[in-house]
Amino acid sequence: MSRIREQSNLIYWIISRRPEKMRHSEFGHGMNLSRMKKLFVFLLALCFIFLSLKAQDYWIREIISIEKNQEIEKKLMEMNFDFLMERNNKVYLIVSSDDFAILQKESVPYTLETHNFPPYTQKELSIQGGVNGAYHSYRELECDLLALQGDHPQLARVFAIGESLEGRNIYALKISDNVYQDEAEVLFIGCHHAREWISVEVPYQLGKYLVENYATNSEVRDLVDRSVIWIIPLLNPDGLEYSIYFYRYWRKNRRDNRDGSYGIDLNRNYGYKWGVDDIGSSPNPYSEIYRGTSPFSEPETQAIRDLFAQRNFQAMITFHSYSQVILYPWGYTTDPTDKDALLAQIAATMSGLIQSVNGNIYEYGQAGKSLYLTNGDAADWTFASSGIPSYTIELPPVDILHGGFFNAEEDIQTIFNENLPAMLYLARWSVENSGLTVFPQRKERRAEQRLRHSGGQKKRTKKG
Amino acid sequence: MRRNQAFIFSLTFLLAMALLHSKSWPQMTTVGQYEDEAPFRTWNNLGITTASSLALGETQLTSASDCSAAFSNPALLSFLPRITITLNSSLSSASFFKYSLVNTGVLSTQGNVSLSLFGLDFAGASLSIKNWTFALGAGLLESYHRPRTRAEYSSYFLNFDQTGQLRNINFSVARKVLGNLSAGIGLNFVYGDFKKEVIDTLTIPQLPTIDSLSHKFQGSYITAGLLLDIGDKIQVAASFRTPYIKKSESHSLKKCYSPGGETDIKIEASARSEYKQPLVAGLGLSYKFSPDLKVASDLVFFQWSKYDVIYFEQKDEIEREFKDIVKIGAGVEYLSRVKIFRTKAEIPLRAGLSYDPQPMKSPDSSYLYFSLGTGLHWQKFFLDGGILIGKESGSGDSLSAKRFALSVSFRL
Repeated sequence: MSRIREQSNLIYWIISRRPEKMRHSEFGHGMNLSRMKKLFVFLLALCFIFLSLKAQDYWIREIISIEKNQEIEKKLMEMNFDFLMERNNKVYLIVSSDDFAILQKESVPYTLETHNFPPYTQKELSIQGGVNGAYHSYRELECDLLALQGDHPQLARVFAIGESLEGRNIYALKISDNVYQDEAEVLFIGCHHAREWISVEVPYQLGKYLVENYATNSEVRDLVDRSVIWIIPLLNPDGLEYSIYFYRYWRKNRRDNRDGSYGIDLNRNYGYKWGVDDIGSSPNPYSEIYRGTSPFSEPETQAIRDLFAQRNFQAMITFHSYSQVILYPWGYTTDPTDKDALLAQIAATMSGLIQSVNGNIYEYGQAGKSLYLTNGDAADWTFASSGIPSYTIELPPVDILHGGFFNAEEDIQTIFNENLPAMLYLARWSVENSGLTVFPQRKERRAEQRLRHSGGQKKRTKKG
Repeated sequence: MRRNQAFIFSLTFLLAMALLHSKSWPQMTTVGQYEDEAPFRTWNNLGITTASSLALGETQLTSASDCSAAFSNPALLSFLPRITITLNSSLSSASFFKYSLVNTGVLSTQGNVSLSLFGLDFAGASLSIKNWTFALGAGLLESYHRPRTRAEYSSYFLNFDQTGQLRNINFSVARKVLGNLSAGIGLNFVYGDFKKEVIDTLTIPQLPTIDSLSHKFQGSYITAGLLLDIGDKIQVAASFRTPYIKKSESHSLKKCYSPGGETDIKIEASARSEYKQPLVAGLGLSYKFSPDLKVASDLVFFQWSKYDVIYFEQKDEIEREFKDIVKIGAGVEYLSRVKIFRTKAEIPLRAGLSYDPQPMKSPDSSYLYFSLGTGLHWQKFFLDGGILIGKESGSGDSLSAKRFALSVSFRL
């Protein structure tokens, strides 16, 4: 501030150096002249103040990334840094100036990444806020997932399992007491369809519930100790953003189909019976159920496929809205699977558990019979390729008259609460039946799937 | 004389106030490109271009034909006659391809859509006392209108509407400081509004959903400039506008109403938004070949790489990858001397070129404008008209923009 005052004084001094005679002869009225001059000096000083103001620096600590290798990993474990996340063979850390000194001493090469993590206000750390109210946007979710990981580093880890077309991360939250143990794994996916905002909240709230209740709830602790729970709350981040900012009813992802139309229905883009008919999906790019040009053409569905190739899931739920139903394969046909009884039994139990919470009824049945035909959907593919119980839960409301794709903000918690016992039940079922194969040849199928996947990658490499 | 001055100032003040509360009238067709807050026609607005500067390739830094110069280089005010009063109205039109939900997946058009806006967009006055010149002006700085759209099917219709304006009140002071050097400084207060509404209506069953968004803008910045007059032939100018934050009280409402299901769901948010506007700095040069012939050129730098948006108190989800740009303008003016009713008059003939790159990195787009203008300067009465016609390249959408301005000035 003193520097600014000096500048103002300097300007005033330069002007006041003009000969007294000249000033009087030019301006006539001595008093007015003096006032004008002062005004001018004041305005100039204001201008300097504007220019001198510098942006506030919000960051006290920095985020860095370090390429992972065995040697580095060993060093990092000894250093006990604040771990942020791991992605693309890089470890992201939050470091202070002291930490920098340690890194330099240990000759650990790092890249400054702070600029890739823009600052957030405290308000953003909660789910209240933003143009979509209590619902999560992509950034809010990213922030909240990282906060869960930060608050519960022993239980929760966030992975970016893929990247959307517009470059947003597809995050998976892995919940387990010990990430190195070979345990039963179960997967919950939200937001294949952009406008189904509630489908982000239910799986996210599950993750939050599990890590926050681990210490106090023996049932949760037992489940987390014996299983690995994967949660992908937002599979279609580009679509969700478009739905929030431009058009509330947007459904698909944001693929530019190059014919004036946009988007592919991610839940018609999976590889089992993809495009088997034009009823369960559409070849028309303008259609809401456009299946894309080939199975797994989209990075979002590829992320799920790749995750399945790496993990050993025992069960899967994908959340949608609306209509309050629990659906299981097949969706592409009205014919039942050969495990229809088992799938129906699990669905019936989940439906009963939901009803026991607040009396809300979720009907259940085979997807192709209960709702409408769908081909290339997630549940058909996971069931066919991995042989695991796979469910689509259509969350409330029950019909369009009760809001359709809209749920009141205050209903988010209610909807999560009513679905919680069903989700926990399926996770427990996975633990208890982790040796059971719904399909006898499940392991062989998965191995085959991995081989196919890696073969595909090799081919792409050859093509360059 | 003092009574006259007081009258003239009162009149100007009233006109300015009237302007600030008037709306420009959209002529039905359409606007906007890429972002909701994209100003009509171009992102690069240093000040208000009245008819004469428009015709000179939008050069604003060395030519002062009226007091609108205060918005871009206040030092120019020193070169105005003792009293000036100017009113400017314009008809602007621009074509767009992608904006909001048009041609981004929801509604498709077969080609570009265009919108025209007409309105009184500047009123101002200047007064010189000794070597000091003061100016007060009000103008329409930016417009955010977009083409209104309605899609209708048998049991469903979709309405889209976006309007908005940013107005500017400028108070500037200038004087000759050292011989041929003039300096000026201006205080600018901007305010405006923005409203976007998307209404989806299912008629059977009756289910209207409304997605509305509104902003009330406010901000202030300083403009300052220098002008060096070298031998009455060459003028060199430097000018800048401080970066500033266009603050907004923002409100969003997403509402679903179903009488049949007794459903009335509102997802509502109110928060502050901020649009960090860039620093602008310009250099101008003009040369008089003779009292009748003058050329002028401007280079104006916009530091768009610093552009940032905090939307509803959050770092905006929509990436705005902007780059710094330099807008270039040049023009020539020839004054043809004639006599009207046995008194001397001037008919200015103006032409210009302007290269106006837009700040988005993708698409990397720019406009090339040609401008023409003429007018009549007779006694204390100045009438000027100018037209600017431009084509965009880079986006692949072949956009176009036009602006026709007409200004009336009194010089006493």
